[in-house]
Amino acid sequence: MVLAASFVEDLVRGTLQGLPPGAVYGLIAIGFVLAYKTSGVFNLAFGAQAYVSAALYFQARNEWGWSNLAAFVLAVVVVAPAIGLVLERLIFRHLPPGSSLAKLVIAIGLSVALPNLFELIVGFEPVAGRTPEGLLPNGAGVFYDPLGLYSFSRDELTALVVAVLGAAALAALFRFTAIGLQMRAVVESPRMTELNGIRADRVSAFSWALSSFFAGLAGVLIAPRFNTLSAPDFFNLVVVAIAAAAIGKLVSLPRALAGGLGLGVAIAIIDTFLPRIVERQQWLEPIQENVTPAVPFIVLFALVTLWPELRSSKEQTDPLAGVDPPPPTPAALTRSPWLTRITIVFAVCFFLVAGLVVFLRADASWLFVVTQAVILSTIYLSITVLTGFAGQISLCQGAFAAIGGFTVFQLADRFGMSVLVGAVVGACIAAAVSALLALPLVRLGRVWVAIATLAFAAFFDAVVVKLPFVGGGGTSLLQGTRVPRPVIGPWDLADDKAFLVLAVLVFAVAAYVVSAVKTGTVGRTLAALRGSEVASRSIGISPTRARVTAFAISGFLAGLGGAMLSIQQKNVNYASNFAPFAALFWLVLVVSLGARTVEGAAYAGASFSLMDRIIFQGTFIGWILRSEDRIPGVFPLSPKWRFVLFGLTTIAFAKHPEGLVENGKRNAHVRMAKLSARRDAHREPSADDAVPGEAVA
Amino acid sequence: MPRLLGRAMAASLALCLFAAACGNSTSDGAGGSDGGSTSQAGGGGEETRDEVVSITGVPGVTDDAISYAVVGTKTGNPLGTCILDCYVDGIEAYFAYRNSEGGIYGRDLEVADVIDDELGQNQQKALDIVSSSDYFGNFQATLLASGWGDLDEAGIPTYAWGINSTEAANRSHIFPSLAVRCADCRRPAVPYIASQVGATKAASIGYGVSENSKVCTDTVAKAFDLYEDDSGVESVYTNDDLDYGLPNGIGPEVSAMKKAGVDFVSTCIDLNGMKTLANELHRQDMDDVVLYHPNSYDQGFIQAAGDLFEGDVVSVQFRPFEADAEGNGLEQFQTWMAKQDKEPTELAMVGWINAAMAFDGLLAAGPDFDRQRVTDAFNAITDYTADGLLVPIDWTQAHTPYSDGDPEAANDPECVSYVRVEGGEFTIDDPENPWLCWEATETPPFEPTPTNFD
Amino acid sequence: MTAVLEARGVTKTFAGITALSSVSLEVQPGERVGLIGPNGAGKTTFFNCLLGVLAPDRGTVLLEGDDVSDLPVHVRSRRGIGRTFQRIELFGESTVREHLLIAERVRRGDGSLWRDLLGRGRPRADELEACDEVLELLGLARLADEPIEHLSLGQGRLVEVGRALMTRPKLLLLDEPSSGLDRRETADLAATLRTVQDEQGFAILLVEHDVELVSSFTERSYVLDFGSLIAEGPTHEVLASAAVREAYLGPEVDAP
Repeated sequence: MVLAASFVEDLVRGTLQGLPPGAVYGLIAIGFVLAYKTSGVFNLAFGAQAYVSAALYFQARNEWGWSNLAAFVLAVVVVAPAIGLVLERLIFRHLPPGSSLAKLVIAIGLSVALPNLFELIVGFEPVAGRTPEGLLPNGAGVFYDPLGLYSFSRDELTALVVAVLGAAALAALFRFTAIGLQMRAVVESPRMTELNGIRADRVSAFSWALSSFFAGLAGVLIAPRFNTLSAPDFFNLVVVAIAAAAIGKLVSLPRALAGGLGLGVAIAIIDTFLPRIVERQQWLEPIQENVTPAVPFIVLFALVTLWPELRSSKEQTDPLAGVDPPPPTPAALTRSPWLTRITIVFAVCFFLVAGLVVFLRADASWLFVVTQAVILSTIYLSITVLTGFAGQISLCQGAFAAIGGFTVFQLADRFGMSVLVGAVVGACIAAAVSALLALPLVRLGRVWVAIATLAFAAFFDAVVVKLPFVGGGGTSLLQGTRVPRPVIGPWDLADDKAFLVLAVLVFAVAAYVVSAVKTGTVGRTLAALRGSEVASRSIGISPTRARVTAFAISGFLAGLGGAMLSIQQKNVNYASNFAPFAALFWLVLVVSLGARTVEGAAYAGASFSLMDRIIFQGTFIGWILRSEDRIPGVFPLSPKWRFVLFGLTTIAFAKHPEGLVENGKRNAHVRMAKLSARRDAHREPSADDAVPGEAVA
Repeated sequence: MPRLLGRAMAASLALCLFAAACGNSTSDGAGGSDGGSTSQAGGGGEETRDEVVSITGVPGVTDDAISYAVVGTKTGNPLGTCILDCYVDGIEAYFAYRNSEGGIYGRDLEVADVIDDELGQNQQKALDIVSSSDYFGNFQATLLASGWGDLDEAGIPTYAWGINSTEAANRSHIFPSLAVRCADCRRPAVPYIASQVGATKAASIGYGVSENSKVCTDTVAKAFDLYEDDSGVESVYTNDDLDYGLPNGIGPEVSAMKKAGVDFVSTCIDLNGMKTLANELHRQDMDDVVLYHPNSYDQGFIQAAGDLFEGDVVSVQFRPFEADAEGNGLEQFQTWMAKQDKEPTELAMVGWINAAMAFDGLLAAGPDFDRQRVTDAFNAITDYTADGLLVPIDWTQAHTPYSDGDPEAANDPECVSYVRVEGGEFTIDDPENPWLCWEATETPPFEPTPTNFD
Repeated sequence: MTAVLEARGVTKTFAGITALSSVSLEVQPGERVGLIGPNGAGKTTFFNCLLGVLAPDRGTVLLEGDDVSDLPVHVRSRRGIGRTFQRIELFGESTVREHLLIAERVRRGDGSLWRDLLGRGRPRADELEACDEVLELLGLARLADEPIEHLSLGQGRLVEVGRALMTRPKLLLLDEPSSGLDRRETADLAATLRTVQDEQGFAILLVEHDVELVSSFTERSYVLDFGSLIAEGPTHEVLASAAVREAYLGPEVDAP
């Protein structure tokens, strides 16, 4: 009986211990659901918004010495909704309903850009151990212990109460008020609501202000849990919160809160009891070690892939979409062959010259960034295949690349295998993992694929990386994950110039694969699926097979590139190369520059690697001014600007899903076509080159 | 990827934690000897310090100055600690000190460039240094040491903050301020400290995010087992799979420790995690539990936490500021930090020590020096203490790691230094003998010798 | 003779509401059959059950005598069901010819990743020829290289037909082909379809509420109302029957 009593006590205590973190997850989950419900945006930038308010509150309260109330008013009441209004006004208002994918990509871009922009403007830097103050005085110092089992601090209690009240109030808002109904209606069809005499833009602005206010409130409430405020922690919270929100199918606020609390409690209970069970059942130990840190990601992945109700919630389409004018036709889809030829000739000349300069003039540092650009372009081709061709958003390309890198490390370390063989094996393993991962994902909506892959990336990061046969083992303990350079016959690739040649060759092969796929059966099949899944199936295309193939090719390219990167850097360098957030940034980069073409991937690789060097360090200005000494004092620009810049470029994705590079080319072609048309018109007027028929809706 | 690495940082952090928690430096014997700065290796030495030899073709060396680059993490440091700026303060203070005596070989020492590696770009910045002819050597205070391999290959003398021990292994041109050779050797230090604070039941905890943090945790737990009879401290709780950053708190784990009667916790986690842990202990009425901090030697951090850390033990990787300063490098450090009007922080001390290593390498190499000679001369020093600031390091061995059970352990004694938190201030038990040293055998006897190196 | 398509007792309920109640129907080779009914009669549901988009609760679907009830959509397509869509479904950013080419490639089933990688994934001469034949037949040859975005709705429907034809269907399902088209365009479409059908000999099942099109185009018709078949027979008889007029057309409309 004593045992039973102590069991119950532990159970209750475990539950209580899970509530404070659960309230944090719940608050973010509520905000996330609120944003999704009222704006249709899968707002991965929610954490960034919360961070901005939390940091601003901290700055005003602790650095500028404002009172709690004044800091709260500034950070939560004024700035948070203002950010929402600005985002709505400048970005989201202009997106057609149902463009959930574009919204997701933009949200990812914002989650990169917002924290950096804020830090640049306010001059905020995280300081170790400077725990933010809570809203109430001495929030961290006063404890309440209602059951005599576990005590809550005043801050934790505040967060808990606000979470519960917030969920209730918002649920009531949706159920009982006109504005609540209108907000939901506007998400589904702004036209329809306008037919009912409601100003859709005002409702939408209110939605954004409300959900952003809540983001700010959540940020300030959860901040006391952090010993140091930093944006990545907030982003990680969002991933957990999505799991909670998924429990509420992304629409139910009370269930999102319950999901958040439930996750917190579940983790606490697991941490309470699993170690005891493992003491008796040793074979469970690997589960304890590997699963415990990854519970939210496993829950999220399982929910997305195994819960049919969640799966079938389709992306909305506006029933009145036909009323809207058709989206602008992408400029000049077909390019004249001669223009293409000129472009190719020009590109070849450029690369020959650039290559020659690099070979003759580049020092180790330039060689490094140029080689890195080439290898990253190889990795980015994996995004070209998956996102550009198949229309699927994967946020775990970093994990696939890391598989390539770790395979090279392990094979070279354990079996002394050639790193080039290792690279191919690694690419194959990455392809297999990618294909396996794809199996449960192929039937999901695109947003869900993105979320499931994000969960996988987080799982890989939390669990897989440290496994002895992946990133661990005796060698890594003594000297990290070092990787040797290969030797092919007489060709010693320890030389950086030789290695650059190899990197270019590998990129060329990858580029050939991608273009062969694009023009071949697989690419055409994927293009068809991207255009219309039902129509594709009606001509006998199996979506499963096609998408699994795309995932496999993409995994292969990412793995190959990851292996090459590790060989180049002579180390896997998982943390700086392949972390989940890094991979998120890759996607942002490729998508905004051009996900459909090999050039797009190449530009993205060059941007990632060379932009900093050439633009942000002021080198380019230096070239123009012919002197390093005359580079203006504003250089080097803060690296944060890079994230702001590329983060905000995704906004263009809504209008130009083909990417800025491709769009530029198309526009150039249109201009060329007009020029030549004018010339023709002088010679023989009235060739009927009007576009036949009107556009198809 | 500055600023955004978040979780991924854990891997590298775990390295530093582990390095500090297991804290065994390489040295030539518990008895120690005089500071290595006057060692005779390489034919240099104090008597030739003012000789001027014209040198051409050596990067970063002019007739007036010897230039160094300083690379460190500033943008994107997720710990929020002062790394690069504080580190530079220490280096510049040391250079000012030496330059006030006329520099070396008729030349001034100077920091030519301070480079922020933005957390993720260490390799790129390292290659910038490799490519440039402006620097003779460089200093590295980075969280992710991805560029050390290139610096080593290029033969550039690199003096570094010793938290990335695996990246320093087997690289003879890399000189960390702390040389950890064995990651998983069971040493008596932590059990001894536990017994000294009157503990009887100990816990060892760490993050599960990297192999190294796990190994650190498990090694300490095993050491408790090995020395249980001597110390009277029993290992009753081990947890090597905490989630990095403790996003879900640490309530259940602390409850389990409470149940097990834990009164001493050895940790392999970062200072932010320590604060979460201390808060939870406080909440569960376990304020009397003593924490062993690997990574919290930071006066500002301890003071900001109020009385959370009262009574805790904090390990220090160099002669603690609280130890006697008279006649050793600490005195100079304090004097010159004051002259420069800079805070004498932990990282400033690391910078000072690294700068001293650079200077002593030059001194040992002699007036006709180049990069290789400086490296070789420094690697010949067997008892380097940076003028009493460090446990003696045997640089002939320090670059070579080994594993538990390796007979090499007999040549690698352990010395630790620690302070306690009392009234929000660090205090030291024996200011005259700031280190405890154990005899160098494969399984060292439990009782240490209080030691001083200067 | 074996029917091209036979549905037996297809029943489907949604959340307790019966959408289809034991619907049976058959289409003979080369036949033109209409399926009509008012909005909400269950036409679309039935259509989706035939194609495999929805799984019926009871009942079987036979294709040339083989039970295909458990086969997924794309396999049924390969077995010989081609279709068009009420709300037009084309592949964005492709040309007209590309629509047909991918269908042809899938029908042949000889495309694979490995062939792509060996550089043999591009359209071959015989494939292009097959496409051009169909384009010619449909009068789309002039538009072959136009991006699909430049087409009118009527032309888009023809592309859908062409795409379906490339699969060499034994049965072509037309889902409300007249929607969005004006009278003349509808007539043109019907005429073209008839020509092509005469040439290729497949059967057509036309789901439609445009009575004029159904009566002029089909030989036999089924009438669906509230999920049940209420009439079947030669189209002109069906349309004339009182029950149908009552249920579907309303009493004030005269059958043609």
